[in-house]
Amino acid sequence: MALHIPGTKYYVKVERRLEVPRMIPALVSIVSAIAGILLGGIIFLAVGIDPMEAYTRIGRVVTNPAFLGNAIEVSIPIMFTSLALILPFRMAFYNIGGEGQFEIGAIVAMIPVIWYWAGFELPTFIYLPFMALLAFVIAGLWALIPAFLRAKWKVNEILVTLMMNFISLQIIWYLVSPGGPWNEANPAFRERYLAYLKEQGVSIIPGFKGTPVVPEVARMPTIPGLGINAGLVLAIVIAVVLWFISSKTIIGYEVRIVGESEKAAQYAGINYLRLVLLVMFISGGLAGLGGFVNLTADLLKLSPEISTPGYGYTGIIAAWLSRLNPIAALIVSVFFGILTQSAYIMQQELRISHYVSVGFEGLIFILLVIGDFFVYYRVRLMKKV
Amino acid sequence: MELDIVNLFLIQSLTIGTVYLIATLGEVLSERAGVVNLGLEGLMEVGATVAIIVALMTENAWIGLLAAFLAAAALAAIHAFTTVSLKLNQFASGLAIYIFGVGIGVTFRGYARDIILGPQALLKIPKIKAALASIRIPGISNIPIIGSLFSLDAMVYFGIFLGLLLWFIFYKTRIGLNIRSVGENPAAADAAGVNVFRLRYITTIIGGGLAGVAGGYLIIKIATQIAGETVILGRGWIAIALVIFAFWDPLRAIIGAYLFGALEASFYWLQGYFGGATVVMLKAVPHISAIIILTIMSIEALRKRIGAPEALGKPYSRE
Amino acid sequence: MVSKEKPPAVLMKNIVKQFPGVLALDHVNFEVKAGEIHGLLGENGAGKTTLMSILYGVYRTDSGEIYIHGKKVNIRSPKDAIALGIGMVPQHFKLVMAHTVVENVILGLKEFGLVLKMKDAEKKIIELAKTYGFRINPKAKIWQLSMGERQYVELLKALIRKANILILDEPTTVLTPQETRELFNTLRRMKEEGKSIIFISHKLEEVKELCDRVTVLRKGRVVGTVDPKKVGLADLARMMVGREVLFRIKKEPRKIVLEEPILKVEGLYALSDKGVMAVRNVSLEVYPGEILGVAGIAGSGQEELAEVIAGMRKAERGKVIIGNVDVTNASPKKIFELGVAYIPESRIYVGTAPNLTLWENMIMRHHRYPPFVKNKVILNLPYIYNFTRKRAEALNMMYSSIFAPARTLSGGNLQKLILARELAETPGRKTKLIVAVYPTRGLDVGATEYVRKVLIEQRDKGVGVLLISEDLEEILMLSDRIAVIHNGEIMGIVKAEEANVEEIGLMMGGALRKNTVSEKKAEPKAPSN
Repeated sequence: MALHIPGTKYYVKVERRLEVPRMIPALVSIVSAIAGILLGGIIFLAVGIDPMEAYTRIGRVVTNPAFLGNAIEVSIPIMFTSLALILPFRMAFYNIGGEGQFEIGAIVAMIPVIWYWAGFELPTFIYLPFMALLAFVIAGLWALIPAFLRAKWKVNEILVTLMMNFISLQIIWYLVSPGGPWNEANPAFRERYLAYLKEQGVSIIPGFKGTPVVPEVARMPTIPGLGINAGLVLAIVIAVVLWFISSKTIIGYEVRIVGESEKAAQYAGINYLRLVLLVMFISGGLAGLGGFVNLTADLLKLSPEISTPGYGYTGIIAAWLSRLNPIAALIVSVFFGILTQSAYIMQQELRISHYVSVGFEGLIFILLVIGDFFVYYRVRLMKKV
Repeated sequence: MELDIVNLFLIQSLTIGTVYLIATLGEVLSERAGVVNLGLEGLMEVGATVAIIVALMTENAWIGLLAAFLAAAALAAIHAFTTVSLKLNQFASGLAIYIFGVGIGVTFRGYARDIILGPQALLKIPKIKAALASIRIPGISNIPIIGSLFSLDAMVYFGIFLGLLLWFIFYKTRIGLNIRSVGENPAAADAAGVNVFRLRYITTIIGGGLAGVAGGYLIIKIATQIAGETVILGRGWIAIALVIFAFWDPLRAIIGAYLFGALEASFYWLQGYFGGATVVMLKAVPHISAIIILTIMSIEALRKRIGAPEALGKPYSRE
Repeated sequence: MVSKEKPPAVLMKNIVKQFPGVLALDHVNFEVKAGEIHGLLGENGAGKTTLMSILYGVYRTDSGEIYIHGKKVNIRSPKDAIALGIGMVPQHFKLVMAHTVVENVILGLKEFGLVLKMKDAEKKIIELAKTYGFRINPKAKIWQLSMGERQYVELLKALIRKANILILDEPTTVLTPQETRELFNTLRRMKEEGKSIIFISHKLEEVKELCDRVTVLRKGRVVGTVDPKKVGLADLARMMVGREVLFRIKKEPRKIVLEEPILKVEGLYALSDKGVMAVRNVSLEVYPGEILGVAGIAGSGQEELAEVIAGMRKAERGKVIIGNVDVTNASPKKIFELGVAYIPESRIYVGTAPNLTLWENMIMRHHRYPPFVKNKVILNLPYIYNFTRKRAEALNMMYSSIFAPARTLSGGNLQKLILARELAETPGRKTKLIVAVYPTRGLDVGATEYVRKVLIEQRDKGVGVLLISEDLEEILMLSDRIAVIHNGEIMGIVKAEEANVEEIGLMMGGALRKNTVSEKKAEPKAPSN
C-alpha cells in the first residue's frame, strides 16, 4: 500500500513485515512510554498547567530514597497483576479480570483475620502462609470460570472477566458495608476489637465502612534495611519461576504454540481446555496473591479501596509494555509505581486528582496500541522516481 | 402519599434510564457496523467532565452537552483510527481509551473546579440544572402515575426519540442497510460498492459522541459534582452489556435501559428502607446476568437467531 | 439464433498476465458471441479465474485489449465492469446470511431511495425471477435458503444491475443434480432473452450439455475452442489435461506385498467448512510399501478427506482404520502415536508456527514424549537442540540457526522441516503411513525433486503413502495406484501402469466412473489425429 503525500514527490510505503527484528517491540514500548509522558505534558500545557510541575515531582520520587521506597512498595501489587497476565496473554487469552482476581485474593485472605477478631486464633506462624494459600487457590478457582466458558463455548473472555471484576467488588461492598458481616460494628468481634482500639488510643466511628484492621500477627514483614515489605521478595521469586516455566517447560511451550495458531495447536495434539484451565488457575492465583500482599502490607484492612488505583488494569498495561517478559515486567511495574506515587504527591501538593497517573497510563497504552502497528508493518518514505 | 412515591420512582427510573439509553444506543450504532468500543466508560467520564465545565463556564447546559458530544467524539475518533485504518485489535484499543478516558476525565474535573472555575462556579449549578428541569404540561402532569410520564426533562424525550430514530434508520433507510451489511459481512458490502471504512468511522465517532452526552446528562442532572472522583461507576460497562441484552436492537434497548434505570433507582429506595448489606449484593445482578446471556449467545446454534453482527470485532482489510 | 452481423459480446485479444514467478495468461484470445453460452474449461491454475477476473475488473491485464459489444474498453474496477453490463456470480457467495433476499439484492443500489421502497424492490425481484423461470421468496433470509437458492440471489444481484454478460464461476460445485438442472433451464431462458453467458467449469458432462461453445485453457494458454456437441468427452478431457511425454522417476516395482492395508477408509462422509458435504462415501485402502495417489481438481474433497484421516476434521459417517485400530474421530495425538505422518496443505499456520523458532517447530508433535521431555514437564533442551540439528542435516535443510523463526525459511526448507519432523524415528514411534497434501505446491524445482525422492524412499522402506496432488504428472510419476476424486466421490481406482491419461481426465471431470457395480462407459473415442 502506498500513500501519496499530496503536493510532494514523496510517498509513504506501507508493507507487512516478513520478519520482526527482535528490538522493535522493545523499542516501541520505550518510545510509547516516553512519548506518553511527553504528550501528557503537552496536554497539561494546553489546559494551563505547567508540565514541569508534574515532571519535577516524578523526578523527586526517583531521586529521593524515601519516596523511591514508597514507589517500589506501590509497584509490588502491580508486579503481581502484571506477572499474572504473562501466560494467558501469551496464549492469546485476554484475562482482563486481574482486578477482580486481586480482590478475591484479598477477600479470602481476610478470612483468618475475621476469625481472629471473632475469637478463633491460629498459631502465629501459620497466618501468612495460610492466607497466601487461600488467596492463591480461591482466586485461581475464580479465574477458572471465564477459562471454562471460553474453552467450552467460545464465550468472549474479555467481557466475562470484566463483568466478574464488578461482581467481586460488590462482594467486598457487601461484606464491609454497615450491617454487613465483616463490618467492624459486627457484634461478633466488636468486643475484642474495641478493646484493641482502646489500647491503641483510637476511637471507633460507628458505621464506618471497613473491616477491623489486620492484626500484627498477620502483617507482612519488612525487608530489613530496605524498608520495603517482603512482598517484593515473593514477586521476584514468582518472576523467576514464571521465566522458568515459560522457557523451560512444556507448559510454556504449548502456550506459545496456542498463541501462534489454534489450528497448529490442534495439529500438535494440544488440549486447549486443559491448558487454559491450568494457565488461568495460575493467573488468577497470582493476581490473588497480589491482593493478599496489598492487604497484609499496605491497606491492612479490607475495603473497596483495596485496589485503588486499579492495580488490575495497570497490570494489563504493564504486561503489554513489558512484552510479556517476566523480568521486564518487574522493571515496568516499578516505572508505574513511580508514576502512581508521583500522582499521589501531585494530589497533595497541586490538588490534582491522583487519577492523573491513570491518565498517563491510558495515554501510554493508546500510544502502545498504535505503536504496535509498526511492529507488524514497515513504513518507509520513498521518493517517486 | 404513596402515589407520590410511585411517581417519584417512575421519574427517577426514566431519568437514570436515559443515561443508560443514550450510551447504549451509541454503542449499538457502533457495533452494528462491526466495531466494538470498550472505551464507553472512559468516554462517559470525559463527556461528564467537559459537560459540567463548559456548562458552568457558559451558564448553559445545552452548550455543555454539545461540548461533551464533541469531546467524546474526538476521543472515539482515535479508536476509529486504530481499528479501521490501522486495523489493530479492537478490544485493546477500546480498553486503552477506557483507561485514558477515566484518567483524563477525572483528573481535569477536579482540577477545573479548583483552578479554572473557582468556588463561585458551584453557585451556578442550579441555573444550569434548570435547563434540564422537568417539563410540566398543565393539566396532564397532575394525573397520577401517567402524568409523571409527561413531566420529564427534554433529554428523556430525546432518548426515546433517538431510539426510534435509530430503529427507523437501521430498518427503513438505505444507510441503515449499509450499516447493517457492513457489520455482518464487510466483504459483501465492499463488493456491492459500500464504503466500509468511511461508514465505520462515522458510526464509531457518533456512537462515541453519544456516550459523552450520556455522561454529561448524568453529571448535570443526577450526580452533580465537580470532584476528582469517578462518577460513571460502571454504568458504561453495563451499557455495553445492555447492547447484548437488547440484541443490538434500538427499541429493545429502550426497554432494557429503563429496566436498568428502575433497577438502579430501586437500589436507592431499598437502601433507604432496608439498609446496607443485602441490597449491595443485588447490585451484582446485572453483571451476573450479562455473563449468563453472553454464554447463551456463544452457543453457536443460537447466535444466528439472536443477531450479533457477524463481523463484530474483526478488522476488515481488502487483502 | 446467433446473428453473424452482431459484434461479439466479449472479445479479449492477446491477454497477458504475469504474477511473480508465474505467467498466468500467455497471449490468450477469448471470444463470446452475443446470445451464446460459452464454457471455459480447465484445471486449477489453468487461468480461467484469472481471465475472468480481468474481465470483471478485479485484475488489470498487462497487455492486450478488451472489446465489449464491439467497443474497446478499459476495465479498471468491478464498477466499470458493472457499468458495461458484466455481472459475476462468484464461486464463494458474497451474501449477508442474516439478511433477506431483498436486502442482499438491493445493497449498494441507489434506485430504491434513501428511505427504502421495499415493496418496489420485492416486486422487481419477483418480476425478474418470473422472466427467467425461477421462484424466489424475497423475504426469506439467506441462511434459510439452500445453496441453489442462494445462487439465484447472486444471479438476481447481477440481473437487477442490468447485466447482459454473465460470468458464472464453477456454479455447480455446491448444487444437487436437481438444482443443477434447474439452473441450466434458467440459463437457457436467459440466453433466449439475449444474454451472453460464460460458464467456468471443470465438469465435462455439464459443459457438453449446456454450452454452445467451449474454450479450453491449459497452463495459461488456449488449447482450443470447440463445439462440445461435435467432440467427445474424451477429446475434451485430453485438451484439458494434456498428453505430454512423461518421464517417470526410476522406481522399482512395489517390493513388499502385504495383505493387510495400513490405512482403510470405509464409506466416509465429511462436511466442508461451509457446511456442504465434501466427502461422499469414500472408500479406499493404502498398503504398506505403496504410494496411492489421489488425483482430482482442487476442491473436490481431497483436502477434507486428508483432514479426517489426520484427525483434524470430524467424520459424519463411515470409518477410518489405521493398522487394526479404528481411529474414526480420534484425536490428532492418537493418530500421530500410531505412526501417521501428516503433511498438511497449509505449511504455515497449521504445519508450522511461523513466528516460533526452528527447534520449537521441529519438536512440535513429539514434544510430549520422552526423551524430549523430562519428568513429563521439563523440556530436555540439549536433546531437543541436538535432535533438531540432526534432523535438519538429514534432510539437507538450509537454515541460519535453530533459533531463527521458521518464517525465515524458504518454502522448500519449510516443507523439509515438516518432513524432518514427521518422519523422525523416535523411541516408541515409527512412521507407518504418510498423508501428504499438495506436498510440492509452491516449491522450486530442486525442492520438488527432493520431496518426491523422500516419498519414494519411504515407500521403499515399507511405509504406505497417501499422496494428494493437483499435479497429474506428479501423480502419474510417483504412484503405484491412482484414485480419482470428483465432487467428493471416488470415481475409480486404477493401477498406475495401466493408467490412461484420458480416462483419468474423464474421471476428474466427472464423466467416467470405474467400479465393479456399474461401469459407465466412456463415449467412443473421436478419431484422433
